[in-house]
Amino acid sequence: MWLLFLFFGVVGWEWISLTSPEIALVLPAPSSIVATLISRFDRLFFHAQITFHEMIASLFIALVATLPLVWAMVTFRSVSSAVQVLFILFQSVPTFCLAPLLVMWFGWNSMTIIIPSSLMMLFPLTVSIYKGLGAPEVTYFDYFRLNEATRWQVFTKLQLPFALPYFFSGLRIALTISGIGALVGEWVAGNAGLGVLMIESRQSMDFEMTFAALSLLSVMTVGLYLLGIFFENRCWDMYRAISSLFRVRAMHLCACAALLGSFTSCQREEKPEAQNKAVNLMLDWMPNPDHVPLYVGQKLSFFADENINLNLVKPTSCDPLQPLASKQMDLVISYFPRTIAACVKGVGFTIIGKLIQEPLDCMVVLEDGKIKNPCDLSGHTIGFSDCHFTSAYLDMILSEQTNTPVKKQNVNFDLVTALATKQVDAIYGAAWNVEPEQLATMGFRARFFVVSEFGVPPYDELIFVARSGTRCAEADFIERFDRAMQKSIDYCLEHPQDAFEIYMAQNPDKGPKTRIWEERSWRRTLPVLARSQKFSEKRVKAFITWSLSKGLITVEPEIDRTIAVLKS
Amino acid sequence: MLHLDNILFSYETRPILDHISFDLAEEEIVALVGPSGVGKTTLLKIIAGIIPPESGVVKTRGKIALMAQHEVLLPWRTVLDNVLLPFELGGAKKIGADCHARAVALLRRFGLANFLDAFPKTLSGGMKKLVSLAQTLAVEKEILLLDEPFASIDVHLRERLFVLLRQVIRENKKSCVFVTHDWRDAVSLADRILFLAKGQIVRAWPITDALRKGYRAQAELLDSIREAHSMYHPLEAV
Repeated sequence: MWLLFLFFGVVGWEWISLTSPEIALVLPAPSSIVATLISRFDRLFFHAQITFHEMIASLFIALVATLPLVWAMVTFRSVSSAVQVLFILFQSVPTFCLAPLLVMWFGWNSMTIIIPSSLMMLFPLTVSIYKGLGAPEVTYFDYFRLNEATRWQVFTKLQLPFALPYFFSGLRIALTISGIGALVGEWVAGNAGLGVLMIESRQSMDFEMTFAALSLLSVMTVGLYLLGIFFENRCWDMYRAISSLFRVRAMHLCACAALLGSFTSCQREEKPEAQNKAVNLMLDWMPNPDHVPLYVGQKLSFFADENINLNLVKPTSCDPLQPLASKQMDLVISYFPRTIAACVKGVGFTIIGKLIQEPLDCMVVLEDGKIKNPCDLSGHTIGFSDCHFTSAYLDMILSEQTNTPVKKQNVNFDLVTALATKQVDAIYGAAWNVEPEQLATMGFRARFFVVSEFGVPPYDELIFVARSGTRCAEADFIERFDRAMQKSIDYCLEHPQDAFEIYMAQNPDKGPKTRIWEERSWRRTLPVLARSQKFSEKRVKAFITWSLSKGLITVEPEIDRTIAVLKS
Repeated sequence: MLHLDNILFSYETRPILDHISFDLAEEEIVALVGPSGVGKTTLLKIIAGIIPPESGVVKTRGKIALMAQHEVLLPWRTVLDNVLLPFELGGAKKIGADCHARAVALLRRFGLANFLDAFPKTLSGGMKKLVSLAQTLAVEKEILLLDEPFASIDVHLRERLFVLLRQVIRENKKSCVFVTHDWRDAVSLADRILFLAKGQIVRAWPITDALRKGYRAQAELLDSIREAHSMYHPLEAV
């Protein structure tokens, strides 16, 4: 019966996707999701493996943590009530809100993903085991006492087997949470895994991949859930089997387990320490053609030649300056206007180089839409992404262009889909070398107005920023970094196709659709790659004077302190 | 075998047992009857040492086995393993072949030979009672305390069971106190009936074999019990 429902559901979905292309943009047809699942299974499998490891590791940690907790709850009444209140409090706080804190403690490794997700699982596990231990009726305890059972016998022969079904039903719930936990963790602090794959593919408009990853995660979660049910139904068979084994070899087994435990813990401690401490550089956005030179420099050892062990980190925050300020990153790619505004607020940042030497920020409209030039904006809805620090700029531009009010709509990540599905008439905060090409592959011809058309003086859009006073802000490091960076860019300019292939090879998750628009986008990006790492003092000053006059900043920043590579 | 002296027990402020005293002789079977909520189960628990009395003394010669009103059958154990459970508890290292044999023999006598490897959830309510009874009788304990042992066992089986039970008790030189709601059980099995009401033993009737066989004597006894019941547990006429 339910199979029939499923069948009609899928057929209906396919039909909707075929008949209404607008929905198909954001909700791909099941057939294309399946096709993606098959054709790019290697990549999906790779990421699924990472997510699966995280799920299992967090489950393991939750299990290890739950036992002493349950013991304390059973032994001390006060602990049990305190813990239960704590759990309710904790459960109502979305764990990923604590992620930045955990990132600070554990750094950017899998612990940041595993710990919050195991904390999420701890609640159902602990409560169910605790309930299970108290499940037998008082008559059972009386009976055991009357027969002079020891405390250990009461536990192993009565409480433990009684608690098993409770434990497994808790485990089942924990397993379903583990998928969500790992996903959320990856969104906050991951560099790989299904969660990262989903975000990346979504940002590059590869929705088939997003949904393929999503369905793979569902399959994993449902599979684990079914496994939980399987064990729940057979828990007493297993208990009998194990306890009959135990009668003979209890001591041997205990010894083996202890040995095994110490062995694995020993193994874990052996981690090779990198000799040259890595420089963690966070990108401003998921890898896109703007970043080709970095991947080239890494692959062709331009950075290694300068004794820089560069580690590229995918962004986990809208504002790249945030992880830099909180000391999680050594170096970030940021946007020039945003960085200047942050420096004015007194945060000690040092600009040490640049990637893109012209503004990329633009407004995009559809070719066949109502807006033909910036003056037509009156009365229309503009989508913007607050991720781009664009709200203030948008207000300024709009006030210059039109007197009638314009409706602003925050669409977050979904600039392109919002425009393609005609929910907004224009989008602001896009980059002219990226979004128009994305729209083109989706079958939409787009027109864009770069910020310079609105009177914004030229500036260098993508720059490298370090925290003042750290090794990455030292003159020696800056010199080496800039040399490697410029060498990478020069290579890209000389061999654009080779450079692009290097970049694609290092980002194997990108599908054929993504490759098409990224290659076109790369051609557009080439002319604006930084030709020198030095900043022109005149140009910077002109931009700052303009920003002050428009009220975008209120205090003049000390540019010779902020920008380490200034040229008069 | 058992000597109770001035047992006092209250639940919160409500007195349940008010200075109860009685003795149990060797191989004697005593039935405790009385209205609901009068403290029959509580008295058994005090004798078993599960709850301490507020005051008074319980003296026993021999170990005590208690069959609770709600049978203690572990759902993950087979019928046989459930009967063997008491042997595994305490300091016992290994279950001897004799224990195993005795358990199997008891279950056979109760007509459960085909259910040794069955799990409790597959048994009927009456069968569970029988298993529970076997579990209580199997262990070598001198004093048996049975709380409603015959509930949900059909009448015809009961009659044969009483014979069996008397036999087992005599064979093993045990003595027994059992709680029941049914005066016929009390008459058929017990040597003495104690009527518990208002926290005290208010009546006691010795039962002889002659009484068991004579219909007239039985009818008289029934009248006497009926009278005690209506006296200590009156119902309002509407």
